[in-house]
Amino acid sequence: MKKAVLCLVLIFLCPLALLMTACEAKTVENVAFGTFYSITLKGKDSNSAIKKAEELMLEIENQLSTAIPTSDIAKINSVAANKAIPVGNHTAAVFLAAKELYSASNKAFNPAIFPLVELWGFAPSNFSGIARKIPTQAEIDALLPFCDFEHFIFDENALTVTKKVSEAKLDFGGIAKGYAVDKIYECFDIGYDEFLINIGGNMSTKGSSKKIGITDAESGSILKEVLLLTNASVATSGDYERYYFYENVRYHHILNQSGYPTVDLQSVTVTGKSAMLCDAYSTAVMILGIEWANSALPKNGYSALLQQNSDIIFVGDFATDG
Amino acid sequence: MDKKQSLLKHYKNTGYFLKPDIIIAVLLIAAIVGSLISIFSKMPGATVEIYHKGSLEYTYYLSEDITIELTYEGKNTVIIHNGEVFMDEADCKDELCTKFSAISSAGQRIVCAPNGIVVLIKAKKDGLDGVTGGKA
Repeated sequence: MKKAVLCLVLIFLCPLALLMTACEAKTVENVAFGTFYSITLKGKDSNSAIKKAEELMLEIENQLSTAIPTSDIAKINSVAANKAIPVGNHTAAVFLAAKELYSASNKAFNPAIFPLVELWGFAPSNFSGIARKIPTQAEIDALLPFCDFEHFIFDENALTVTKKVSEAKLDFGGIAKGYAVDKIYECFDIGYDEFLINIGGNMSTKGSSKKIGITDAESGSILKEVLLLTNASVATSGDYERYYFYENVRYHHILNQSGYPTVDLQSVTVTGKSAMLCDAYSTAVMILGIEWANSALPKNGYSALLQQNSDIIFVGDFATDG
Repeated sequence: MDKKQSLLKHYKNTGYFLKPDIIIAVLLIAAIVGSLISIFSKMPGATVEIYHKGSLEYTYYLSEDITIELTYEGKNTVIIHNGEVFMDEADCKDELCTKFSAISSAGQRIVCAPNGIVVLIKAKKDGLDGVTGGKA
């Protein structure tokens, strides 16, 4: 009898232990898009699925990065006016999405602001965190006319981008990571029920609810308000990401339509279905403020947490933990 | 009565363990315990993980005080002190990672993209699943 009980216990425990080992989620942690990425995936063949996701991410980065000389964007930026540059499928998709957001945000979400980003010294190629001078009004005025997304023409049939003025430049840094998260989500969605994709804080998840901390723009620690993310995405833009001090004044990388760093909000965290839209909306709200957030986000199914000085402001139905 | 019949009779009628029974039971229990240790040893957190190009290179406790010199594409110095982690030095172009505030919460990271370094405070079992925002 004793042996029978022991055998039953062992028979039950063995598969249980094996099952627990087999169901363990696989996580990778690496660098892309000039930041980190972390992918956690649970299910069979997770290693090969993550490998494919990494290849896809590299493909997207190679088309969209301003820092890679052979990318579509680097070629568009360096070419003279009126010369058509063939672009890849990811550049095409992001271009069209950005165009829509440019219109929807009264030109606040503007990938063509890049000449001014360079002038301020916030581009990946020239940011050092130290400023010996800041741009003069005359320098800003001189570049502003080139910072118009309408200078870029996309030919859907030929899959080319042509710019009307040589000085115009693009940077999809405010949307590319979110786009990559969405594309990886699409890959995992068929076949996997539990995953978390995180590219530089742009996240998307499926399955169990995830507790997501939000960086406090003032202290750099974590806010007590924790986002409960369930089958949704999140992204944050903040004035603390790239900045420098000049004559005791802090200047950061998110520029408004006048070509100056925004001053109203310290950070904006947006949550909703698409990581790409969260990414773009968080930048747009930094520029356009609370009123626009209230008018644009909830009606499209998005919500936000805004940091303004020491205040926390909620927009829409932002799900916090507890 | 041959050996097979003798064993069958033993298993049907007695509660005693034979030597092979004990060996099999010990092996099975060892396998189960090993599997469970492997699983649960990864759960408790408050550790600092240092990755280089996707490979986990070092793991430290957040509670220890230590200076870690990293030499790969470039040089980085990571310091863990008083439950906080920060990048003290880096020889990359922008040195963005040295301008990060010290991190102390599970899910926070310091990234030196040019040198392929990610420093992550690993979540405890009930910690955060991720952190949005930051200089990364």
